[in-house]
Amino acid sequence: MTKAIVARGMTKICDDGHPAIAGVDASFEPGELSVVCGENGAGKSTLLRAITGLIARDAGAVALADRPRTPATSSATEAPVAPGAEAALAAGLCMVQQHLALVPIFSAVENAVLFARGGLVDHAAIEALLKATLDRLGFVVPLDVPVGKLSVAERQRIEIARAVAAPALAGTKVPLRLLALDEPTAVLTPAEADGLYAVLRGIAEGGTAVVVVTHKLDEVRKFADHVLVLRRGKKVHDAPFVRADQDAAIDQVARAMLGDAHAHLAHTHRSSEQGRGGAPAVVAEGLALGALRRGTFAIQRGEVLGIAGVEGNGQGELVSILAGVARGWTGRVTPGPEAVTAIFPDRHAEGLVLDATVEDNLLLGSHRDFSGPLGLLDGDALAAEALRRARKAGAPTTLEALASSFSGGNQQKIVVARALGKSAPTVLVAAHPTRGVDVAAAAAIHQELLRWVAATPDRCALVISADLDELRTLSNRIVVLAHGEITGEFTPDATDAELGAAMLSVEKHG
Amino acid sequence: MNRRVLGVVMALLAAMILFECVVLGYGESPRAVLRMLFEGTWGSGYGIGQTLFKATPLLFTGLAVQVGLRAGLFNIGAEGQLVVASFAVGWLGTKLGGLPAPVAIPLLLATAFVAGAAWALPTAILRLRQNVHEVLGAILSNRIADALVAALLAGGAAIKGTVHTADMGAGCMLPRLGAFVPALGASAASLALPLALVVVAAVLPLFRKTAIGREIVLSGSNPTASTAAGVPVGLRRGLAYVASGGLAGLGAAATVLGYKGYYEQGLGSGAGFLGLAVALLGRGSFFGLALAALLFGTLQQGGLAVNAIVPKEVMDVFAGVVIVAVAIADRWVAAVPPVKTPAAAQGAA
Ligand SMILES: Nc1ncnc2c1ncn2[C@@H]1O[C@H](COP(=O)(O)OP(=O)(O)OP(=O)(O)O)[C@@H](O)[C@H]1O
Ligand SMILES: [Mg+2]
Repeated sequence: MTKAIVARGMTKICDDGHPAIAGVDASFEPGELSVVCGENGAGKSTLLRAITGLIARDAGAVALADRPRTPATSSATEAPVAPGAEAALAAGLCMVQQHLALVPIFSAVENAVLFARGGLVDHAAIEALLKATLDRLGFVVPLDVPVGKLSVAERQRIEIARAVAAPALAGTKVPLRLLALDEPTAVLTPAEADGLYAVLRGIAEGGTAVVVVTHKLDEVRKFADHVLVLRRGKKVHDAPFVRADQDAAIDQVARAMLGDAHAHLAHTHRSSEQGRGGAPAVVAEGLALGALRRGTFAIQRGEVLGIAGVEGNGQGELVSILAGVARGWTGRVTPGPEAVTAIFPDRHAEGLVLDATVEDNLLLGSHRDFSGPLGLLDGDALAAEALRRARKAGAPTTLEALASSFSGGNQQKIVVARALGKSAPTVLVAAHPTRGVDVAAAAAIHQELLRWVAATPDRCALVISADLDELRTLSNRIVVLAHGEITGEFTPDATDAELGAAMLSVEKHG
Repeated sequence: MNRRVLGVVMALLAAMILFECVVLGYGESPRAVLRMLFEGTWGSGYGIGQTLFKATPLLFTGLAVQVGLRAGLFNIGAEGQLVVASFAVGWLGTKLGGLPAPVAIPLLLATAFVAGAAWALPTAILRLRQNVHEVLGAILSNRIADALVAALLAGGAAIKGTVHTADMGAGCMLPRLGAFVPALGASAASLALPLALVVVAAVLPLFRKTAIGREIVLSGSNPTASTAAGVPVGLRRGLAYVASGGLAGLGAAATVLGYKGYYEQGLGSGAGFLGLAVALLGRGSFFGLALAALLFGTLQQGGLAVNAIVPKEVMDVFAGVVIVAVAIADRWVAAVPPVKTPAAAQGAA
């Protein structure tokens, strides 16, 4: 019989001495899909990385056990899993991390080769194995293109396939016992997310314990067998998800995540003001670059234009063109990049300087505004501005800490704080502004985003998101980007089905 | 003791042991060699002065490499930049016969900086516009610098039949330190040393205290994110690399202005490459750079001191071993996690 994975007393102390997780017990059953929830920085990533050996744990033990839902003490029938990634892999425990971990200049196959062990590498066999895994999972991705050229969603499929195939790649005979995925749906549209959960369900039914981290309670409602909630490094909820009484169960999870006081999440509402008339604030005509084939749209003053669509249909290119970092594009757009403040889609590549401080990241690009006489920086003014930006968006305020020391969601808040903190630009281009951010913080960011747009009469925003609810909350108008062009325009009350149909619309051109 | 310092000390001890083995290999007594080494460097006023003299260009080149590293660029071209700057200064000095020192010296220092910077410029442009790796560009420009200067010397810049230029004007020399501190005797240490210290002390804080400095560091660390946030990354990194070339060029102050009074082929050679070691060892702090420059200055001077019984190249072996040992010690320091506070452990329990 396949074994359950039992972790006891998992503890990880950060370099600054505070515990990221402290004494967390968890067990994951084969065939089950468990969901891990919790606020940003609660310790979700840390827990899963410690279990799969990707980081060293300071205390705790992981074991394979026969009995389901193992009690707190270990028994003789258990097989302990030694610390370290190799031991975890040898036991069949694999993880897809929050921030994708592929080598961008390598193809999918070459990335899979990195997981192979032994002296000589059988390239053909690995390619066959990867292909077979992708087929089994129903994923279609190009195998011979450098993965840096692929969309985030495609890269993620490669990572999932690689993780599923990892024990076989390493040449072990063990089955995949645990597949942990850290916020895999953060960048996916609801339809894509449903598809992914179907795949994960299939993997679980093959006898694997599947664990997914998510901030989306809707996914808990639809797919969870078991829910684990972390709060400030401790486990505060660990129970099967009772679908018979969904609303109560979800409420319980929300309370555990946020504490009773915040269980009622304020719902942000878009400004009722429609475009303020006059000349449009942004006019784009025939923008083309890579996947983007014809970006033609206008945004009115005071308007938030939402862009829905499957990642990889030109969104990334659109952001780079508007923000002025793209080269070799064609078409026309006004205003120029100096009027634009942008939140880029990939926070690690384009958002943050990870080994710089929070302060420098909050002020990146604005340092020159704080030069005093002799060109020297005014340290107090810098800190004051950084704090102002951080507070508005709920970003970390420990200005001297390195950006790399924060959880994914808290890093995202730094990126957002910087973009919204600039006051000179009149156009906000926001790609996935709340990617990986917990529910309460996302609501705060939405409010701040709308406040930014409303602050002066000539501002407007373009929001790209895979989360249709987010688009509905923020936008005055939603357009769908598919196959590199706008394939439909909707009011914010459009249904998922309507938007979804436009997203999947068949190509018009041959 | 600070863990990093401990690592360096252990590395030095390891290098010392290896050094003694090499000396034994030559059939000499390590004690005798060590005594000679000490007497030739820190054991006498003259030795100290010579050591300081050897350390001075290393301060400039070490700082130069450090400035490049901050922008994420490896300036292996300091060698060629120093050669070109030294030649430029030596040549110009012959034309400044009558000028008084307060005019001539600043002019010559500016020339050294500009010549070094100009020599770094093509490499910077190739790197930041055409994405040709700066190490490649620098290796090429080092070779070209040697060839060009040799050609210019042969083509009339040198006194006929020699490989050095004529003496510079009297106002072009930097005074020797021995003039102020008699104990240093006739050693070649000059005012270039305090100048180097002032330059290091003035340049390092710029990375924190000025907007451009911070943008250089951020651009070096993540060019993509910096570009996305509106930082002119190419300009910033280019500026850093060119300034790095200029600082390397200032090394000519120690050799041409402070010591010879003319340029001679090969003068100051090796200081550019040792600058790499000084920067890597010095870790970007003022004291780090100063101590590293002193260490390698000591080894260079020590090599000359022991030359009578073992070849001075033995000291180069020693220097190489120090670099490797420090790199290993560094990894060792990084691999051992820092000690956790009891409070944290309690919080975790
Ligand atoms: N590399 C690191 N260095 C220091 N501290 C870290 C590091 N990575 C995480 N932490 C800290 O550990 C704690 C838990 O982080 P973790 O990444 O597990 O959170 P999370 O629950 O995954 O959050 P998110 O939803 O934002 O991804 C946070 O307080 C974070 O600051
Ligand atoms: Mg996380």
